[in-house]
Amino acid sequence: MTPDVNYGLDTILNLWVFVFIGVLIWMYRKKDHGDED
Amino acid sequence: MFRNPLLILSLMLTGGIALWGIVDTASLAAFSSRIVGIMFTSRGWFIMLSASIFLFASIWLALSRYGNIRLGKDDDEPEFSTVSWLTMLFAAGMGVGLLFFGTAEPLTHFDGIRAYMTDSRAAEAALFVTNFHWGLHAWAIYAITGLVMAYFSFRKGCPNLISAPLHHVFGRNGWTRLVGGFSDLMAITAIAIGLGGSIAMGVFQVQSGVESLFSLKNSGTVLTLVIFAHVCVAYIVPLTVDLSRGMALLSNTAMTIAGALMVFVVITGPTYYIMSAIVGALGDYLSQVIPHGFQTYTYFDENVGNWFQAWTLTYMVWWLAWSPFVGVFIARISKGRTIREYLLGVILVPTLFSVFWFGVFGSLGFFGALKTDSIVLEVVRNNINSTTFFVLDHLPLKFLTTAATVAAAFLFVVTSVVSAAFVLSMFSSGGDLNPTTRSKLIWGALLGALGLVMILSDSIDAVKSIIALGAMPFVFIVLLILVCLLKELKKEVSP
Repeated sequence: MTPDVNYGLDTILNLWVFVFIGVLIWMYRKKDHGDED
Repeated sequence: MFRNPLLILSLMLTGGIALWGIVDTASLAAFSSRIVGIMFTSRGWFIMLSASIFLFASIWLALSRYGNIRLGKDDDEPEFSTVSWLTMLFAAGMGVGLLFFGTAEPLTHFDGIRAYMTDSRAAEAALFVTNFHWGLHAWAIYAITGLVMAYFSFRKGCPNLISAPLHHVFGRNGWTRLVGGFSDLMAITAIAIGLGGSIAMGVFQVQSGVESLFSLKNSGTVLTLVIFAHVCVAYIVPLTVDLSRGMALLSNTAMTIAGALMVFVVITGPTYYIMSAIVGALGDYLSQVIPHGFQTYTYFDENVGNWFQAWTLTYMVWWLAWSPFVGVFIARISKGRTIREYLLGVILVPTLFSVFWFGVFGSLGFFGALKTDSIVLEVVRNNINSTTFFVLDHLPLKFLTTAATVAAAFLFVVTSVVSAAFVLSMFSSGGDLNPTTRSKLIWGALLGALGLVMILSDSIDAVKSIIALGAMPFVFIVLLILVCLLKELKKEVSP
């Protein structure tokens, strides 16, 4: 199943993961819908 | 019903995959294998890390003050007694996969690992890694998805949809609609494709059993299609009438047969050997399970890398794919329990059962391979579908045990398809708990078509990579809904 690694694609796929983790952290800290302050 | 865009989109997507598979099975299998290979190479570390995060999150939630929160209103009582709840959890975990892989999986790993260590160490490692695949990490994935579903539907009154937590926590706006809609669509696709694989595995298993019962050799595609047709007829009928009690009975029957089979093997097989293997496997599991959750085989050769992708990573995304389906089921039976009770029950009990199951069937296989001149390893290499029947052949009452295994496999598949058609109709109709018969029948037919695709691919490896392809986005979705849960829980206990 292991293909020859395309390092460009690999970097993009991994960057996507880091962006996603960043979004999760942002979501966790974000003020909720309906929060007062 | 055709005004529902989610239903139309999901039908088009799964129908398109089914059509592609029927027209050109080989290209679908090759495509999924290629994409899954790229994803696994680049993101394998993230899948393993996420599985461990789900396990740690489950343990932390169970032990923290959030553990006291009830899945329902504060004065809700559990609907089922603890014993019957635990039995139903067994039933959810006991699918056709356990029957299929009971002996085959430990022996397949053993066959590969032997090149790297002595036979005795390889047998221990093979059993450990099988237990790892079916143990705490798998159930933590189910438990977290089920917990989010149960919490938001029973405590917050949200519809039973994967997108519901997102809408509840962040409101309905552009991005939540987009991400929520995508999550629901992916949940439906992953369940449908996963179920197609389950049908194929069940049909292969029943076929091998029938071949063994009637001493048929290489019965070919005709028998496969005859069995497939029987499965289809058997699940279409329950979809047209409300047979929820009857389905529970069928599923319990399948589970009782499987349980009885396991006890029978312990008694009539080499009992001392099996019991020693179980205790040893439990020790290995307890001592290695947490570090192994972070094992990515970075420095090993290509064979090990391929094996890691084909088994460990495939299993992890497989559990993720199944998690909305099993999650809905375990959420439904857990109403009124506290988060602590729920998590400890869902994670620990089925894991212990799996360790026992693979200990019994795996060690029976190892007994054949290491202590006798049995050709069991040849069978695993050349015809993995018939492994279970091959080992049962060496025990007394082989006709009875083979027939029982065939019956259990058949019942597991039929009950899974009926439940999945229900869950898919529910998801695709906005969380309606009473979906129409027409919608259930459409999903039933699509599941059958996907099952046929998997059967035509005629290879468990192809089935596994097609399932993994459908499951891939789910690692992101489960993390997303976990964040929604944590945010909402924080509000419950804050002053």
